[in-house]
Amino acid sequence: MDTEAKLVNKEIVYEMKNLSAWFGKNQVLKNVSLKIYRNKITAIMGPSGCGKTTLLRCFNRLNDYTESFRVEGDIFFNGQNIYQMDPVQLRRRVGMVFQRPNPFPMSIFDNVAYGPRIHGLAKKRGLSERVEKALKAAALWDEVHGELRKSAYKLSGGQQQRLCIARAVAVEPEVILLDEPTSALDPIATERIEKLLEDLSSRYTIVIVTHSIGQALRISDYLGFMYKGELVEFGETSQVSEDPRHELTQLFLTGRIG
Amino acid sequence: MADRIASSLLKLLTYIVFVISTAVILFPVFKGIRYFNPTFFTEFPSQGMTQGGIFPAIVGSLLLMSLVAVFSVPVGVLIGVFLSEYAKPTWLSALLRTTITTMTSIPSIVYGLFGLAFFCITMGFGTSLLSASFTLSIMTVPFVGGSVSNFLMAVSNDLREAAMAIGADKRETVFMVIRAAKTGILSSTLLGLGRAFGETAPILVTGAVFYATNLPRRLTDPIMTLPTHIYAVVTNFPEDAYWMAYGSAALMVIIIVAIYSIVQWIRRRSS
Amino acid sequence: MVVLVSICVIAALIGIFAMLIHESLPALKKIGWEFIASGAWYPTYEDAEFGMLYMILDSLILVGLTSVVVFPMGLGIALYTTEYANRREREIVRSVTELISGIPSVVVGLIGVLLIGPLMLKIGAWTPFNLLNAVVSLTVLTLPYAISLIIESLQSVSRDLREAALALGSSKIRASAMAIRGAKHEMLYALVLIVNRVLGETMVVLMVAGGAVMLPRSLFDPIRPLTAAIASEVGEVELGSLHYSALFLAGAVLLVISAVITVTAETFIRRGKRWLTG
Repeated sequence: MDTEAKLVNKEIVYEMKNLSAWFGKNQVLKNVSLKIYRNKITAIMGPSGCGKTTLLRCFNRLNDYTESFRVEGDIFFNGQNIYQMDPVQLRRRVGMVFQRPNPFPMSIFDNVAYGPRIHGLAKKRGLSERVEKALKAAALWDEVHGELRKSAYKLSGGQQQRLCIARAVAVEPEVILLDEPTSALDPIATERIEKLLEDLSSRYTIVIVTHSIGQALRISDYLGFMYKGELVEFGETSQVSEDPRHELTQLFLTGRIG
Repeated sequence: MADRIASSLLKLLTYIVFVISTAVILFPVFKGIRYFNPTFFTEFPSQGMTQGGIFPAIVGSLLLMSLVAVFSVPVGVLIGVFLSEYAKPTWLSALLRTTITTMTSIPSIVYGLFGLAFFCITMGFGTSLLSASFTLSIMTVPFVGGSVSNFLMAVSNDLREAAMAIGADKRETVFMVIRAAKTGILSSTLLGLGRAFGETAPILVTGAVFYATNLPRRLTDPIMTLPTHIYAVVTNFPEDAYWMAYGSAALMVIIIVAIYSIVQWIRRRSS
Repeated sequence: MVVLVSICVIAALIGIFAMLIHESLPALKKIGWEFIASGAWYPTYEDAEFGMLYMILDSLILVGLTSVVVFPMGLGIALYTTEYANRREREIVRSVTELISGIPSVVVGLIGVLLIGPLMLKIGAWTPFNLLNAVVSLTVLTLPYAISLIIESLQSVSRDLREAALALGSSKIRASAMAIRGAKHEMLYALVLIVNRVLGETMVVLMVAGGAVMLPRSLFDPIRPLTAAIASEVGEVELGSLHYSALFLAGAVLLVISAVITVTAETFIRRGKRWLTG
């Protein structure tokens, strides 16, 4: 199998080149370079404090709002430098799901409809269809279709997280970023969301940060391992897990560190 | 055990204080409620305040509160939003916050003096409804603004990030936060107005008369208000006028209790 | 835009200062430092004197006495509510405290005149309107505020502190004492807020404190705090006269005192926790 040719044929959604980042004097990312491929699930794993969440938040420039944050290097989204783009526009094409579910203080319907509404994506009739489609994609439709006007806060943790996924999907982004999306959920809810992500990857590019090795190995196509701000290893999951190039990766995978 | 003694003592203290406070507060209500009848509410005072009703005082307070609400609620809420969501460098936000807290702690008579010098004299409004409402508004805005900004800042950042992550711009994100804090914003407004309703010193100086024979016809006319009426009767009129003060006091207490009960109900409903 | 709004807010406060100082300048120029040095306040005499010392001291004495009564009482009730009370008691305390705190000061003044005044006479006071009446009335007015402030400061202490003490086998009293120690900055802040509130109170003292410009020698003596003096005289004063300006000077004194207290509390006490505990 010619790995070189395989790589060249895939579409690159994000390219990160020599990215370093600081919070004040504290350097949290050290010279990270990687590529995110379209319609694949890329997982970034590593021990607590390794910088993986910061890395993820660079993709949609959410770190910009922290006063002390500073960045060097480039990130390209479909070839365009994201720091030369309007961040609001960037976030209309890149969605995010957070560690703790954070639905809006509104009904289930309004949560999912929020994105399309502010982006001017649908008129009244089109909106209901969009919401239904998104809720189906997030495997939540069957459970809530009769009570769309109910407050989102009345859902269980797992349901709220799927609602957040539906909310992100409703605007039809190109990429969905997920920051440890199942760490606050029980194993059953976790399993449902993992299956969901696998289904979604046929239409969306998924980047997921996780501290669960099992999860990373289960669902990802590409796997990156971070340690103390450095991207120690990155490549196809099968290769990284079976034949890691770096000793640290091996230690992490076998539970010796982290 | 020592714990039980301490607990009993404190319990005793608490119960005694509560019973006494409630009794003391209800004293004017009970003494005044017996005078509640249509005459009391619809007639002007007469015979040296010994007969008639408090109609002009009710109207005066109503007009005053309406103007204060119009001036101070929008401004107060906007200031609160500004302080919480837009004032970004931390030193600026701290400075503004201290300024606003200072303004809420200024003695009410000082606001009265300011109102007198600025609105009555410099601006030429004289002793009037207008001067009094402006003065009270300047007192209420910092209170409402500070309270609103506290509620907004209490909204978890997760919510702001969720909105930003989906591509909401600053304005849309701020609206989302306001939505999340809407109970707090409403209660801040009601409490601010309740506080303004009970204020006496500033309007004594800038807008009130003690004995009106007709209703204010223009914004520049002076007014009778419930709180100044109580003060006037108790300090300037003989004992057979006291019943009017009891009546007004009872009315005021009932209104305040109503406002606070509404606030408490709103709070309970939202959680 | 941020700059514009910020400037407006700060300008409002500065405007209040400016107006008051402007109106008090004539008095300041004419009277000089006598206003703080002397206690002789005879503004309406031919040879008018404008010494505010006694009135300022009256304010301070009143504030001091009231705080000494209100704070411990508030602390006791707050402690009971947070440490010992059951759920229903706690809710009732909260609601009732909030309701009473909204009672207008003029109504409390009414109570002071018509209920507490006669009581004063019964217990032997020579005038119903005196320092004691003022302290009692102010207590009724400020206690609810004090209770909610102290409850808030006690609750800000993390549960862990209390539970650590209890886990070591200490009695509930000691655990409460630990909670108080942990909250001492917040409580100091609460105390300062209460002091500021009482200092600025006008209506109650206007109606029940008596109105005599003198230093009280007993609890039954009438006094005239600064706020009451201003409120009672500003209605009768001739606009633009020296007396008028002197009243503004008194107002400026109050303004400066309350502003200094607030700013000190905000900068050093509220945020000082970091400085002091490192």
